[in-house]
Amino acid sequence: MNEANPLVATRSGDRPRAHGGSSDTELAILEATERLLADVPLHDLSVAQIIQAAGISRATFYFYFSSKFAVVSGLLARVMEGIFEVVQPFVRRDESVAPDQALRDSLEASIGLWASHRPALRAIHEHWNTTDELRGLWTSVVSRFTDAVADEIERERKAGLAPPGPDAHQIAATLLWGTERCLYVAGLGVDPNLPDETHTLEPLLALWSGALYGGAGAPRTAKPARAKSS
Amino acid sequence: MYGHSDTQAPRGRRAAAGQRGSDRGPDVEQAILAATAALLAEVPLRELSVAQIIRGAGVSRATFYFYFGSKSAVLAALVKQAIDEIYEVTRQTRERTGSMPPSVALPARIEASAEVWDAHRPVLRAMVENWHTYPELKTVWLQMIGGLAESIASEIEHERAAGRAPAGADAHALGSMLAWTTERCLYVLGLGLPDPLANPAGTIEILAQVWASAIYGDQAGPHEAAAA
Repeated sequence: MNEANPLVATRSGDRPRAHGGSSDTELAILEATERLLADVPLHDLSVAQIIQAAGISRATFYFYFSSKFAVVSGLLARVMEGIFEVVQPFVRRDESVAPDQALRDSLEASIGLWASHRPALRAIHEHWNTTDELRGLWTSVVSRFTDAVADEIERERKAGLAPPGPDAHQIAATLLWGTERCLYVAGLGVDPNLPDETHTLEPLLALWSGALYGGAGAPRTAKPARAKSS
Repeated sequence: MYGHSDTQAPRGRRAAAGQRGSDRGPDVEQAILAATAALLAEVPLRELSVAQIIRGAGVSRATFYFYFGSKSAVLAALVKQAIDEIYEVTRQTRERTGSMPPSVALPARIEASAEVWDAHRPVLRAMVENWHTYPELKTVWLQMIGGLAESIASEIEHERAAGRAPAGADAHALGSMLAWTTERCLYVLGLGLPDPLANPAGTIEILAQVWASAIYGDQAGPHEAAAA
């Protein structure tokens, strides 16, 4: 976790924690909640269920978390930190890696992590804008990813790897909001064209590659090429 | 255009009742729809009560249930009206821009739909936030997005067959992805968040480019649109 991470700062509603947020008890609460969310919608989930599943007392629960939403925020912080790490090959691309490979690797790893935390991410996706405790957190997560992707777009443009185009932040936001929506829908299994998360990889690559690099797609070599329209 | 859409609101016990009181008719049904749309601008669907709707519409509880089985049935009917408007403006825009290049035609289509979305913003927002918990809303919304996805998919296949678009990812998966991406971006745009998507013109331009590069590849990607 780095200091600028907004995921930590937005948890100010929580009680002070004895072990800096990583005690076994706190972890047990987070994991029990994630297991419960596979079967129970967030609205119906009670603190009593979490306490029972984690095998702790009510007092212990409230020592660590102020509400079920605080637990979900903690879960989100952990998952999104993981996703932020796996997108580093793309947003902080090493010059020895070709852009199309970096994009594929980052998307594939993000999709895998999303799928393995599907219940928690589904709960956030469905409730962030109708739950005060989650709104600021989710929008700050999206902003953090938007900034990182926009920075990368601007770097690629400067290097002549991506064509000039509209505002990089707007492109990044469009792609990120679209991607989280498609992963959510794929996880529900309600759209026969997107039966699960793994089936989103190829169309997502087409979407990202086209929007970032033009229809020809991401450069397949690590060597900078001349921008077509400069 | 994008698929089948039924404008008829759920009728509740209307058919079984077989009679019409003086307070029953298209005007009364419209009053219920209008009152619900107005309330949804202020009250989340979850907190909205039928009592508030009948007070807003000035109708009796019996009259409400003559037309609608629940508040979500009213929302489903409101969304169907908005969807019909989107189909209609899309049809008109496609007619008007049929001979124009995709770099003009696609933004025009997305802009026309975005305007309808904006005019029905509280209703569509309520749909987007609640379809996962109300089966009758889910049916309507999945049919809407599914219809849009199929329309995009057949456009991609048509353009590929005509040699105007290169081969690429599965057309149906791309169609769904563009449909859901557009849905999400129009929703976020309408929230007025301090987000890069809060700029409507920019969002429509970028959505059009995402569509263009997904459908046409390098023949109408961001390159050309940016240079135009």
